[in-house]
Amino acid sequence: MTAILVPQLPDLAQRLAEAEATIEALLSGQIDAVVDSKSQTPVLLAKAQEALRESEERYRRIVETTNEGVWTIDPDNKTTFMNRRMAQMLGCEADMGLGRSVLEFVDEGGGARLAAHIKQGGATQIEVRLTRLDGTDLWVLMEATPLYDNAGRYEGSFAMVMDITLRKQAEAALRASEARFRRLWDSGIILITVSDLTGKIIEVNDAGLNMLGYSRDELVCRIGWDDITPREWDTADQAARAQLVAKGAASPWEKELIRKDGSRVSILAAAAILSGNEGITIAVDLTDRKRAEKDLLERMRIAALTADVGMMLTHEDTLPTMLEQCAEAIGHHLDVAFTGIWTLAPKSNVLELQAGAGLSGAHARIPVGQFKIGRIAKQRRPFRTDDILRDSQMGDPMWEGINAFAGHPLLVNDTLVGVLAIFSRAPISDAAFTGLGAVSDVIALGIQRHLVTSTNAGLESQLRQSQKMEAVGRLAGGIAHDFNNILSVILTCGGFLLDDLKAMDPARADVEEIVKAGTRAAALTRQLLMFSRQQVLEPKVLDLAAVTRDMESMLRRVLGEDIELVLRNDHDPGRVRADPGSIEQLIMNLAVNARDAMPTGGTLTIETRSEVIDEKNLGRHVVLCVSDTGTGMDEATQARIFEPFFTTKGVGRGTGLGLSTVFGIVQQSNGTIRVKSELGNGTTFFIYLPHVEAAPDAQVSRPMRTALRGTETILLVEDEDQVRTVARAILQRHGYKVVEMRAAEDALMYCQGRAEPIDLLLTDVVMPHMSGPELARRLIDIRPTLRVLCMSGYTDDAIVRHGVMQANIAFLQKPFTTESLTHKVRDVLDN
Amino acid sequence: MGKARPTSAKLLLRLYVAGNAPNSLRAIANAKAICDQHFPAEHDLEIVDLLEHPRRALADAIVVTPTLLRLSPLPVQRVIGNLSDTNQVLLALAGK
Repeated sequence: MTAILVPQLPDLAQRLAEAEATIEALLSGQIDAVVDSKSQTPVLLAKAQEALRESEERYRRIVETTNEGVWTIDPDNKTTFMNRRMAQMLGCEADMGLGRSVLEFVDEGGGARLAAHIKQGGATQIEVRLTRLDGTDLWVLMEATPLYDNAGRYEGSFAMVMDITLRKQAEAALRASEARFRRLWDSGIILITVSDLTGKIIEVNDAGLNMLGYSRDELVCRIGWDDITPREWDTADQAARAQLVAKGAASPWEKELIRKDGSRVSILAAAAILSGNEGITIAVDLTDRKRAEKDLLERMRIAALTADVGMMLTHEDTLPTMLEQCAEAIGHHLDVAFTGIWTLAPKSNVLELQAGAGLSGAHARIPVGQFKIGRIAKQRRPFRTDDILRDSQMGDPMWEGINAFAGHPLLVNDTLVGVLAIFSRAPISDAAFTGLGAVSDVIALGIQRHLVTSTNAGLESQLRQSQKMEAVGRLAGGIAHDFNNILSVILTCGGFLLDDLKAMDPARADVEEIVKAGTRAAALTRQLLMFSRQQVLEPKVLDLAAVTRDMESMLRRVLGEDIELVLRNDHDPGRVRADPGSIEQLIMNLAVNARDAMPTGGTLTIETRSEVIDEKNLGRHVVLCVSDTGTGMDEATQARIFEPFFTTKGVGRGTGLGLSTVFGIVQQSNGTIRVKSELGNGTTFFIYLPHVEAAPDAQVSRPMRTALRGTETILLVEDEDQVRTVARAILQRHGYKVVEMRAAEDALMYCQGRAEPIDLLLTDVVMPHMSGPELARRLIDIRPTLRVLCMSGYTDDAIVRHGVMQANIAFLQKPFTTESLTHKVRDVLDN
Repeated sequence: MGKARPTSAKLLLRLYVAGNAPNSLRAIANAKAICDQHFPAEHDLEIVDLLEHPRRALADAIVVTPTLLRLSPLPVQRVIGNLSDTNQVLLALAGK
């Protein structure tokens, strides 16, 4: 067999040609099989190629069907292949991309990165943004692997490409979402915490830290929700927790949290379970809203209170009742412990408590300027404190549990009428304080209105009283005038009779009774005139203490043995200007009344002292106090004591004119009189007379009650015949020469016609045609040395106008007695 | 020991192929077409499938398929490949 192998054609060239032909055929792919020279079996090339082709096909299918892009490029980055997926990603057909540079599909920055990545090779990945043919973008994750030929030359790269656009979008969305959440977290608006299932806070934002006052280190992982929740909110928290467990979220609920400093903050909380063992809680600070709600509530309360108070002030109640209702309304609406309303007593400058449950003792009467209430009144400024005990200005620790105080002065047009104050356990809010101011204004107006109304009522009553007195006075005065003339005659004639009758004459006793009765009647008419202020007063500067001392012995006689008289005088009570006789009369009347009020004995105290009266700046006064320890008077009696003819004494014992006279004297002396009395506790009269800075006038001489004689010539002018007759008789009996005229004109004519000397003109004041003073003025023109004595039964404004009160014209009160006439005449002639 | 030489000038051809492999099929088709066209009466074409008769390769020192041998007239000529280049085949068949 070997022989067969021997070539039949030994030509070497032939064999070479065959070898070349074989190689060529192999190279051109025209060979199906090669005979294995060792096994002498044909090896089918066709089989190998098929297998290769099948393998290639398999890879191609994998490449084409894979969800990743496959992209191959040559050393110039030009596309040599891309699979369908890659083409799809780029939005083109697979062969459309062939030959295009891979860098055409990326932007500049991405291109540089991609080029570097391709060059670097290796098992690295790059995320790069590609631009599709239609211009839209897609993000891909690319892993390029360089390819080398057998000689180690770089012949391009092969890249696996994954579309991560969705992932990128998801990432971007997540980033945006996270950014939004972060903004929320950092916003400072709401508290956000993440806590574990036990409530321990494991994360908290700054807003939460601010709200709670802790630092992050102090709070995180150290403090739980339970630690910062007041116990009274446990129930609400438990309900929320149950909801959280059941539904995974707890709908918002209101609660409070405790800050690090112990104070509380109101919040609206909501919670949700984040994952298996974490929960998120958010909370909004409700403090402002709560405050606003509270303010609104308080404003509504104030509005309601103001309305209530306004209503109460319109009621026709007494002032204390009205203010008590206001205080109750304030206590009710503002929920305060005590409310006090004081009104100012202007005379004493003391604040008097009118309303205020629970207030008493030292608070009943507070001098302006003392304690806080008094200071509010003095400074006329509202005051508030939420810490009474620590406020040095309060100084009254009597308020158990009371912490807050607020007071407002009650002012009407800058005039202080009182103070309103509240005492509260809880702090007093701005709204309540301001509202209280508004209520204060309303109450102040109410008090003012009430005062004006009651003052008006008082003035009206005073006016009525004064009109009544005036009417009675006119009536009494008119009668007294006529009485005086009659009494002058009776007394004078009675006097003449007594002078003429012998001591033992049996008729003497009767005449004495007539004179006595006439004297009493004269005293009565004098009192009538005094009360009706028609008495002519001759004011002098007086020392009241001296007057009372001078009267002491007389008073003791009047009071009797059962009554002790106590005189109590200031060292120097000061002086007043008053008519001494009237003042004596006044003291006597009061003493007589006191005596009658002490039928079983007692003490009468007469006191003089100096007192400064602040009210209306009336200034210094001398006060005369006459007090007894008698039966006293009830209010009804006190209201009427100064009325004329009002008497509590038995029939025939009192005239009802004693105190009326006192009243009249005081009024005429520019003074005031007050009475303080209580049934069973005696009576005190206070008579205030203005103090004068002057030395007392010379002590009024008390001439002896004996008639004085003279020989001078007296011109008597009197239109009343009886009075003229009596006067002439008295004067002639005492040695005077009397020229008698019925009318002023006659007297004038007489003087003009004759040169006979006339020493004194004694004239009535009120006469027809020409008054006494007018006559006097004319006669003095003719006879400058003439002396004048006017006489009258009453005085009125006309007499005062005529100048009778002037010091150079002497005056004689009718009815006159022999003594009073002769003394006065002698006085005038001698001075 | 050698074979007897063909007496006539008849063209004796032997084609080694490998089954139905494509080049083999193409070579059979090409060989028949050339013979029918250029030597219609005086040819004898033997086709040997080495897959069926692997050992016959030895006899003619066959290395690859398809290989066409011109056994007669001598000298033996070899044409390797799928015989698609007709001119080259005719040149070989007519060669001395």
